[in-house]
This record gives sequence, structure tokens and C-alpha cells, in this order.
Amino acid sequence: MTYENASAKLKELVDELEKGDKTLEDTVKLYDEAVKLSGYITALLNNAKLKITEISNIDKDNKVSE
Amino acid sequence: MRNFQAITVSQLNNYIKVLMDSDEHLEHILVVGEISNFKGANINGHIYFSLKDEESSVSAVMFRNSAKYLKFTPENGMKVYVFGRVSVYEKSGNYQIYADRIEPVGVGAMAQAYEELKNKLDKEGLFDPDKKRPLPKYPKKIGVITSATGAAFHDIINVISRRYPLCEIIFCPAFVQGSECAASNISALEEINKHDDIDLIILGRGGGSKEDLWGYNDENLVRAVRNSKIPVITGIGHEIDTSLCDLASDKSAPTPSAAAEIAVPDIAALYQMNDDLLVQINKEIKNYLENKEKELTSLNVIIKSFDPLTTVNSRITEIENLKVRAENAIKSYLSKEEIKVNSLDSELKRLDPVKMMKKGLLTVDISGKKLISAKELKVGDKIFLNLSDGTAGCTVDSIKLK
Repeated sequence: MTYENASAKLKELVDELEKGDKTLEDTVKLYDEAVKLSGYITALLNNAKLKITEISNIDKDNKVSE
Repeated sequence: MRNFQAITVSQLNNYIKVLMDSDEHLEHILVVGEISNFKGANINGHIYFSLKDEESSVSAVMFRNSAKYLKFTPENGMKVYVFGRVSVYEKSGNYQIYADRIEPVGVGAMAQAYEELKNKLDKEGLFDPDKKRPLPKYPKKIGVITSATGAAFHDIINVISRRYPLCEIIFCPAFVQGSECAASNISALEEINKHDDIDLIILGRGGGSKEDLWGYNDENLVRAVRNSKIPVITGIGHEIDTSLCDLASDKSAPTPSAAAEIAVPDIAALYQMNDDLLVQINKEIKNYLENKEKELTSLNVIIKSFDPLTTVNSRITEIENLKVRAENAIKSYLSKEEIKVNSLDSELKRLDPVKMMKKGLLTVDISGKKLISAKELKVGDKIFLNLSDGTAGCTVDSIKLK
């Protein structure tokens, strides 16, 4: 799951929890899911490493050269 | 004369050429003069003309590679600055100016060209605010177009690596100055636009002279920036420089670093947001459980009020109270009756005839003789009962001894 999706999902879960209209069982499930997701996001942020890929059309187009 | 060795014309011209080419004053020159003998570009796109003042004249040539970047159309009689070098055309032995750039004197050619193009593109709506697209909040892949060797690339990588290492950089190098600048940037924009998964482009370069940055005012590049399917952030030069690319892009930043800052969120804020959400999650579950506990407590109170034992206990108390009342009532009744009986008893005892006789209140006599025993009498005897207030005469009917 991307950070964007995970954080959006976490906000949804918190909104649901905030309503407080679920059964105890469902609420505890929501709570568990939210805590796990928050941990997942922390791990995602902790482990992120910038990837750099180079693409170029300079040579094949031959339009531009040094 | 004899001491001289003859050289060929070619050798002479070549010698002069080498001499002139090695002169650093002639390598970069700026000459001001009036255009004459200009007949337009030749079939190859080269421009030949003379530059003159009141007394002198010099030949000049501008080759197609430079001539295509002319921002105005030269005319005979126009006073211009010519940037270039001086060298010899060996075939004719003529020296001439090889022009890299020509600018009209007075107005400031670049400024004029800039203003003209700006007005033109503005009228076309290329700079309209409503054409500017929102930037993705959490970009996944960012296309970066700048020089592979410049500081701008490292600045951009550093900023994004620090702020948002969750994304991926797709780097497409381009020339950031010189005659190839516009074309290579256009080409890079096209290349990056072939990738559907790239959701943002940063196009930029570090600071430089106005001439260095000139390529970013190229009409075709400005259009390419506006026409990019992927939103473009520009960061070109320094704060004071505003290129036409900056005006056409979806968002312009003063520098490449600033463009990178705008492009991505800050991971510190994401950590904070996640922490805040976790705090809220725990608060919500605590509230929920506390509410449930309150509900339970109030239910318990209601349930207890319906407990049968409570009802029975209260009935038992009631009954016991009644019992006590009944006992008290009986006791008080009995004690009143006892008093009555006692008084009757004492009355009866007072009126007992035997006692009365013993006390002499009642005497029986026969012919004046007091009788004590029934054995002294016989049936038919006349006797007298002496009562407290009189005497009664009686006849004995029967005698029964005890």
C-alpha cells in the first residue's frame, strides 16, 4: 500500500471510531486495524529511500549532443 | 630579397589566420555598427552582411545555428551590437566577424523580444491562472529535467531525499544553457510525458546570467511546458529571474531547491500526522469504553430495582410491622379487660354471703335464738333472716347437709 492510500485509510478508520456507533466487537476490530495501519505507516516512513532512475533520449534522437 | 623564401598564398592566409585566432582580444568581441549589404539569409540559412560606421566597414557572417535564434529580423541601416569572434576566411584572405548573437542597439533586444513574446503568449492564454493545474499532494514519481552536471540536480535530489524519500525520481538530463537548451528541454518533456506513471515534473536550473537563462524564454519550450500532460513546477535561476517558462508552468518556484520543496510534503509532518492520529485512536477507544461502562452502571441500577428479593424483603418488613402493631393492640386490650375482671372479682368477693355471715352482716334465728348450723333445723321450722336493714320471716322447705 502507498503512503497516500494508507494515510487516507487511517483517516477513514479514525472517523469511523469517532462516530462511536458500532458494537463493542466492531469497535475493537476498528481499533486494532487502525493501530496496525499506523504502525505500517511508521514503518513505511522509516524505511523509505529515494530511488533515482535516469532516462534519456539525447543520444537516440541525435537532436542534441555535447 | 634573396634572403627570403617564397611562401604560397594559402600559407600566407593560413599564417594570418593562425595569428588572428591566437589573439584573445579577437576571440570574444562586441562590435557596434550599422547593418549594410544585408540580403536576407542564403539558401543554407547563413546570414552575410557588413557592419559599418561613418569611416569603415567590416564583413560579418552569422551561420544558421546561431541565426535561427535571432529574436528579430535584421535590416539594412539598423544599428546593432554584434557578439562573436574575428577570423580570416582563408579562400579570399578577408577577415570578418563570425557573429554568435546580434542585438538591436537601444531598446535592449532581449528585453524587447521577451516582452513581445510574453505579450503574444499572454494573449493566447498560456499564462492564465485557470490553466494551472493542482499538484499531486503525494507524488509517486517525479520527472526531473535539468543538467546532469549542474548543482540544481543535486539540490533537487537533496531536498526530496530529505523531505519525501517515499517517491521516485525519473531524471531526464537536458542542456540548461546555450543554443541547445530549448530543444533538449522540449525533448526531455516529451520523453517524460511518455510515462503515464510520472505525476509531476520539476524543470529547472541554477542561477546564471540573463544570456545563460535565455533558452527558458524560447517560444517552443514555453509552449511545451504549458502543453505537458503532467503538471510542471519550474525553478529557473534565482529569485529575481522570471522566465516565460515560469509564467507558463503550473507552479513556479524561485530556485530549483524551492521547486523541490513545493513538489513534495515534509516527512516530519507526516510522522506528526501519524502520531496525532494514533493519539486520537486511543482517545476514541477510551471514550467508547467509558461510555459503555456508564451505560452498564445505569442499567445495573435499573436491574436492581426489579430484583424479586428486594420486593420480598420489603414485604417481610411490612408484615413484621403489622405483627408488632397487632401484638400491641392485643396486649393493651387484654390489660384493660384484666382491670375490669379484677374490679368485678373484688365486688363479688365483697358480696359473698358466707363472708357476709361471718362478718355478721347476715344472721338467722329461730324464736330469738341465733343459728349457726343447718343441723339445728327441721322441715317446717319458722326462722327469721336478720338483714342489715330489716328482718324477713321464712319457713324451711328442705334441709341438705354438706
